[in-house]
Amino acid sequence: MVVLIHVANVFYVLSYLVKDILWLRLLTVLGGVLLMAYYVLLPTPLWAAIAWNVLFLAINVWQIRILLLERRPVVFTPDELRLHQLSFRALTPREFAKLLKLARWDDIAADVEIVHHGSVLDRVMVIASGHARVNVAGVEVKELGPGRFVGEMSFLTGAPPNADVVAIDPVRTASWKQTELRAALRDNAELRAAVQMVIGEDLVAKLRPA
Amino acid sequence: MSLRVSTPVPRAVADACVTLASGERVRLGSFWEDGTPAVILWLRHFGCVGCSQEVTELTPRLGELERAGARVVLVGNGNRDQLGGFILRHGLAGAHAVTATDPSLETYRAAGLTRSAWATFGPRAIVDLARAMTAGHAHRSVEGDSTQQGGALVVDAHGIVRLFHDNRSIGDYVPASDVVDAVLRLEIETYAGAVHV
Repeated sequence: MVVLIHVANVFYVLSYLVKDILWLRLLTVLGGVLLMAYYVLLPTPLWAAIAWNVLFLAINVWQIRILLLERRPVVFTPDELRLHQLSFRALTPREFAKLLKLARWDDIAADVEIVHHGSVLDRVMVIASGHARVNVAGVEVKELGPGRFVGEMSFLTGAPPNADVVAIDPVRTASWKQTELRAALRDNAELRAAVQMVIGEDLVAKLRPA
Repeated sequence: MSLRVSTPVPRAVADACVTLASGERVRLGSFWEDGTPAVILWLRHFGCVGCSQEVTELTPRLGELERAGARVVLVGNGNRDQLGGFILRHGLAGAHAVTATDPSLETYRAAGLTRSAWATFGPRAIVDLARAMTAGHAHRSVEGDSTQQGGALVVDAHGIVRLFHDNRSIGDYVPASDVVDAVLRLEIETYAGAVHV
């Protein structure tokens, strides 16, 4: 029975030697299970120690589950993959997947107004396919194609748009509610930096005279 | 004197001087008086672990700030040799940023930045120190004033304060993303006549 203690501690030693947190937790779980078996098999089981080990085991199993979920390969639909290539290459697939969880996809028919000047815009959009024209006082000033953002200036400044955006042909957009996007970015500094870079590049390209 | 957002940068701040790596003394105001928005980031001493963390976070964003039309100025308070070492350690030679030093603390005082032993050795500072060190930043020997804290100032092309922060502890600084946000908002305002959607 004492062998259980030795084998458990070999697993603990191995867990201290690995750098990968997943392996560290897996080896700790194995060591913990063997240690618990030892405590249970004692003539007088050590219930207090067993209880603590059950708690450690539960925490580790939960964290292992989270790590495994985070390490699963990311699979995109063709639309999502295209959008990643178009606008979000600066984001890792995992970061982009997090962003997509909050996204809404819309299909907008030709000639439909997507943005109306002066109206509060509560979403940030990116054109996945199709084209839209930007009108100021009824005059077209710009055309936006796939990969271009709509509403990012309102997102940054909080001010309503000063132009209308109308679909030229059928347009497919991915969009994010501003409040939800802000909350998601507030909780994840790396994602915020990556999204900011994407939006910033689009913004500078739009604003600066060619 | 504490700088207030949406008010002009006080003359005392604009006229205070820093020393560039070349030894040239320049007025702080010269960084925005040519109509270029400026981001002034005051650091603590050059060996500070919190400043290492701040600059490491900022360095990859310098290109974005430049593209958005801002001039970034990093001001520490060690001597010129220490400034040179700091530039080397952080790969700032040739970066999109001006690095300078202010050993007399003239600009720090003008901006009203905190100088306190409590901010340097208090409980918050200890937590900040531990956080920065566990993130891999080394605390070096003091290269400047040990109790002087840093700060951040974003000035628009008209000399108006758009963001100001007086750092209250070693690890207290404006995140790089907040600086980028402020500069992007300035970019939008600069082209206010442009389409805004």
